[in-house]
Amino acid sequence: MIDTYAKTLIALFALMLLSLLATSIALFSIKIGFEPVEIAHFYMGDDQSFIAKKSFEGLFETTAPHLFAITSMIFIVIHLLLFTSYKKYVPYLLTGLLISFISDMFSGYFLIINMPFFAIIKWISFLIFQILFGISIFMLVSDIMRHKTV
Amino acid sequence: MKFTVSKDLRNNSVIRRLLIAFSIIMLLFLALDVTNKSLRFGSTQTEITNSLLGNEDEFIDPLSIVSALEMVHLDLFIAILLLLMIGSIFMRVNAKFKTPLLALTMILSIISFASFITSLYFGGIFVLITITTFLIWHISASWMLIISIIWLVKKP
Repeated sequence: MIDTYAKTLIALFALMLLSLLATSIALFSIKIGFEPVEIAHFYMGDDQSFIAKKSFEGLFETTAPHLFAITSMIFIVIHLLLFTSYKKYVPYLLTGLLISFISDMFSGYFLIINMPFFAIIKWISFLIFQILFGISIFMLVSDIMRHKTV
Repeated sequence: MKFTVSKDLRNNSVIRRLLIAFSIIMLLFLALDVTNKSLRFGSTQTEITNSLLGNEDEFIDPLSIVSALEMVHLDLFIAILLLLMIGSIFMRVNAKFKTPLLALTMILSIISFASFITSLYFGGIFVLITITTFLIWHISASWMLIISIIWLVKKP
């Protein structure tokens, strides 16, 4: 049993998180692009497209706030999932989310030291993270909506 | 986050003082957020439209979609944490229209971010929607905080 207030809070929190995911996908597609070649060009630079190579300082400026922000969001969503009937999936989800998040965050550093293979890793890990986080939010909302309201 | 599960917030003096201090500082944050945005984009509909869409006569460049998305991305993250915390404190308060007030605040905050991005393409009515929803969600979040502070200050 769960009261209407808590149900509303969690449902709208989930909706706001989905909006946050939508902005991150939009930013990724506009700033970087979804092709591995575009990802490599964004980090390693491309003379023909007049794209400058990214610096370590520039990457740190992005990595530092994201380490805090994404980890706190994962913490909030996963800890709420522990109270649902999906808690048996939590270890797998958490592992997938953390591995994909870390490889997404740090593959940019390998790209700027001229390891273009990491463009594919960044692309795959970004997609996996978005899908897993979307699934976690969906599981949370679907479980909350199944509960009877007090 | 003991306050999210503890039902007797007012009986624990440390948590009570902590939540009062938190609520007062969040009220200050909401007021400064409105001030900050009005200084950056202007306070009238014309000034805000010029800041978003640009104005050749006044040599104002339009706001790029990347800058707008980056701003929304950061502000949305702050709003999520803020409203989750305010909502968790407000959960324990005995007040009328608790759920509609929470729903109004959260839904209007989402609409304000969505209409901000949309206004870059369509301008006009979406600028007005952005201003209205932005102000209402800040006012209703402040109202939730004020009710929570009054409830926490009163001894059970």
